[in-house]
Amino acid sequence: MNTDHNSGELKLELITKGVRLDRSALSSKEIVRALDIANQVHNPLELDLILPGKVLVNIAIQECLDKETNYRLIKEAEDFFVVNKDLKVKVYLEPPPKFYDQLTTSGKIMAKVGRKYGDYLLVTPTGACEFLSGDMACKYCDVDAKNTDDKSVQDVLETIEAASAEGAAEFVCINVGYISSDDGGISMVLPFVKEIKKNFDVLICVQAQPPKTDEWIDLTYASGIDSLAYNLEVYDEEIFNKIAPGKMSLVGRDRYFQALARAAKVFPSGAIVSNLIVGLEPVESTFKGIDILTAMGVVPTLPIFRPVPGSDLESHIDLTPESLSPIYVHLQNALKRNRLSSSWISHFNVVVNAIDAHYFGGEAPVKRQWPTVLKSKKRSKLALNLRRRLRVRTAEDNESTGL
Amino acid sequence: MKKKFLLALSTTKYSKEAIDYAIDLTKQKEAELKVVFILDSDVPGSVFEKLTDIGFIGDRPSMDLQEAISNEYVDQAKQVLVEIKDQSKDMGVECETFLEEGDFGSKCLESIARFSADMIILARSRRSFFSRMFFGSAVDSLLRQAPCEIKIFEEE
Amino acid sequence: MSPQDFKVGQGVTVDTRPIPLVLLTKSYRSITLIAAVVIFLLIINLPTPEGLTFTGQKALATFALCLVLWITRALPLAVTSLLALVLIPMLGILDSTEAFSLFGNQAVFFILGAFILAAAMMKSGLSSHMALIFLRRFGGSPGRLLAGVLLVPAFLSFLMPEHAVAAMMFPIVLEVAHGLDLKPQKTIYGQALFHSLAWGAAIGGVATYLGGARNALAVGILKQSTGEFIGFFEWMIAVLPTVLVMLGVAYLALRRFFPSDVVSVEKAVKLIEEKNKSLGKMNAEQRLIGIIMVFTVIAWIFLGSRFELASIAIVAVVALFVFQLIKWKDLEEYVNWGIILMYGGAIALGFALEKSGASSWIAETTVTKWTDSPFLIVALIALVSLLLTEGMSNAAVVAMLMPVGLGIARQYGIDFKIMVFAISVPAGLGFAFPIASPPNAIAYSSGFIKPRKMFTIGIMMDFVALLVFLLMTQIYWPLINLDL
Repeated sequence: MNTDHNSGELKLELITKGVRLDRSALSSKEIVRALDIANQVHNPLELDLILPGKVLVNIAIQECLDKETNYRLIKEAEDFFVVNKDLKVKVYLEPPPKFYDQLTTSGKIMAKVGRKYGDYLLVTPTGACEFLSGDMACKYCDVDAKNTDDKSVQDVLETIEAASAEGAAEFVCINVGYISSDDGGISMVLPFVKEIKKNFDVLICVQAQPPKTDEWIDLTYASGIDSLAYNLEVYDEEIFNKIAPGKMSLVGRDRYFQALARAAKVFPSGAIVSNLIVGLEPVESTFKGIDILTAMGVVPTLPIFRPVPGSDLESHIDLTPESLSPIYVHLQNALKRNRLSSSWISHFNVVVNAIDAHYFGGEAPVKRQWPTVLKSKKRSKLALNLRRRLRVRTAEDNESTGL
Repeated sequence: MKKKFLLALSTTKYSKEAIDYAIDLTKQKEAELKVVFILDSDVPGSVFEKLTDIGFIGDRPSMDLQEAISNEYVDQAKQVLVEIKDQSKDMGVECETFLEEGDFGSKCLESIARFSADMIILARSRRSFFSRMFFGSAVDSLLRQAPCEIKIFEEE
Repeated sequence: MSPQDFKVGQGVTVDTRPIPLVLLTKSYRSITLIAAVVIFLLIINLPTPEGLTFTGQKALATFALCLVLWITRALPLAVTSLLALVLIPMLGILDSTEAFSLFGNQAVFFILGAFILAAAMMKSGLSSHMALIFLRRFGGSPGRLLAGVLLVPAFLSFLMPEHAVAAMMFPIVLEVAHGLDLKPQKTIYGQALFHSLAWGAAIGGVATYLGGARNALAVGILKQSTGEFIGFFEWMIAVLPTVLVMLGVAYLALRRFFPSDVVSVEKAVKLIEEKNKSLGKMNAEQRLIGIIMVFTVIAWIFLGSRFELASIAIVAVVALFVFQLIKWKDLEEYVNWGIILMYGGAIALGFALEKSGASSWIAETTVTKWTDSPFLIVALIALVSLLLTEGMSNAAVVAMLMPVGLGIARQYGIDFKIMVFAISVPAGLGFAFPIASPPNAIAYSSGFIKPRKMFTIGIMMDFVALLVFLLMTQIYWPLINLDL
């Protein structure tokens, strides 16, 4: 059996085609625990695999995209392998973090408060989002509103503490849906940010909607948020209007660009990200989106569309690893041309990113990456704080000292 | 699908040549023309720094003056946009105009994205080599970054 | 404040300029404060030079400290003056009663009164009414209208601070430009109109104590330091010919360098007429303020030697309140009170330098070595004042040069009054840069003026102004007993 493989291509294969669990894997203690936690929090089973070359991939097991998938996850002795008829690759299965089945003092299971993706701890403080159902619903979204209840600041703090104890939270990513307000949801996030920054030495990324005025963007940065995502999802105007009717009518595509342009000027280079979901629009349009976002100083994140069975867009997917790989090369080149580092998102394992591009014939990954820039160096965090101190001004500061 | 051209002008970056070029090209290529006038947010600020000179009397007259100047900039911009619209109409060119406020470079990029523009036409203010070197130039950085064709005219 | 405590509505903004520029801006204040203190300590700790007393040395150190702070604005101008006021007695340069009493100098109260009178004229609309009434007399041709836009602000600057005149007339000139369909920077006539506004207000501001408070400040320092005084009328007599010649030169320069590209100004004339009509007749309030103004000026001219100018100004202010022509609340909006503190401190500092012998010492050690011709000295002082005013606040130039100038005058036996004119007249005649004077900045902000043209023609005007001033010292001043 061939053990030669390309980790980037394999990552794409696994994301687009899915993987079946072999009986040998199913009975392993790691999978049993992962399944148990998935059942407790009523979420589909997701597994974090590390492919050779430290390529991270998050695979949704129950959302098997291609029922005829050839990939299986097997366990031999103590090792896991991804296999198909031609290939056998040893992979490392990252076990669910220990804190997942701990309880907060209010009795919430921590896996429901924060989910680990790579080095990120994703927190969704409230399940409220006006784009979840009805005419305004985003067609590509698979968030189950019923399953996302509200968390208190205390719940979140306890979860971060538990996650930090096992080194699982370098980055806390707070996600908010659409709540009709001028601020794009930032006001709701701020109490969490305040307490998290007070208690932990972590970086905070927020995923929100563009606020109505730029003042909120400046305030978002001033408040201590380190990275910000306004997710455009697709670049093509017509498709945007079709698949995100809520965003189109209540926020507007123009506002996304305005807010992203301002945010890219306000935040450090590479800290503003925006999703462009691959597979929802023609590849040329994704290329154009990558070009324009990177020129604006925004780092595009390119998740691959995984259609929810039975959803409007189920039949939309038409992606093969061959058609996908040029997109990531294009992304890497665009980032390089615009001197943007993708360090901030490099270890967010639900997306394929520019770091993986060298597997598809792109150049070697950019040197400034997570481990050297952020994780291992406290002074990087100091530098980020210093930058904030220098750049943020209040009306009082602005008043001329002269008469 | 029709091509889209973007003409970007600002309080400090104006060129009749650029306007004529944009309209002619749009007509020639049977494209659509989007015109964005960017009110340079720095300009009134820098003028007012100079006005907070000693001897300048109370807040009220200075505020009245600031308002008069800001309104004047808006009027001047609107006037330019109306003229471009009229000129386009006479030439039978489809043209839409927008008035924006903010940083020139980032507003240009934002407009390219908003309109999915295939080309941007703009004017660059005449500045010395040293001034560009020390303070940078929005147009120079646009030249590096613009994700579409770019045509630059020196300001008259 | 910790970053997480920021709230919307606090005007939180993020400075997106390049980091080196942000750093420079942020550290500018600290650097200049430290530099000022270092200079102060350095001067005070140096061995006392020959010819200078230690008290003089301390006065010099205080002067240097305040100068750095005034120029760099590391502290608000008024606060720097307050610092001067406490340093002077603390360092034993003057005793505290004397130092604090200088704050009550009559020049300070004169400026206070003049500002309040100007505020009343602006608030009531009298000033714009006057501007329109005068302006309608100048129609007919582009040349005449241009003359109007030059002479009306010039005349109004005889009565009000020049920057207030420029600010008040700015919207009127803007409407005239729009009425004539003039395009910013494109039409020559548009450029001419705004240059005209700036030059008119600046030149007119030199003519009396009311046009620029710097004039009163210079005379205040003169009186405090030497006991001599220049009356309201005396000032006008000495300076008016320079002003008139400069207005003529300005008009010719405008016609020569901005040849009119407009055939008819009929539309503008109509517009001014319409505006005049819409304002209606002057109301009782405006008339009364006008009458008080006229009486005040007459009193300054004829009774100035009997009563103090400041007293007359304050009586006029009281009259405004007696007739309920202005409310105190309005004054708070129209008058920049900090300025008054700045002038008080500048006068105290000037006096301290003079009394301690520091100003004479500077004069001896600097200018004396270069020349012994009084004319050349005056020319040099005027040139320095003119050049400094292109980049500095006019009042700061006066505060800086007056103590030194008086020392030099004593050294050379030059009439102190001549030194006052040599410093304060050129300090009001900077034409080349937008920052040279508030009227220049205001006119420039219209967008009609090309900076390059402002500079090239402005430099020429600067030197013509210097030339005219020096010619006056030779030809006209001897006729009024101001012998150089």
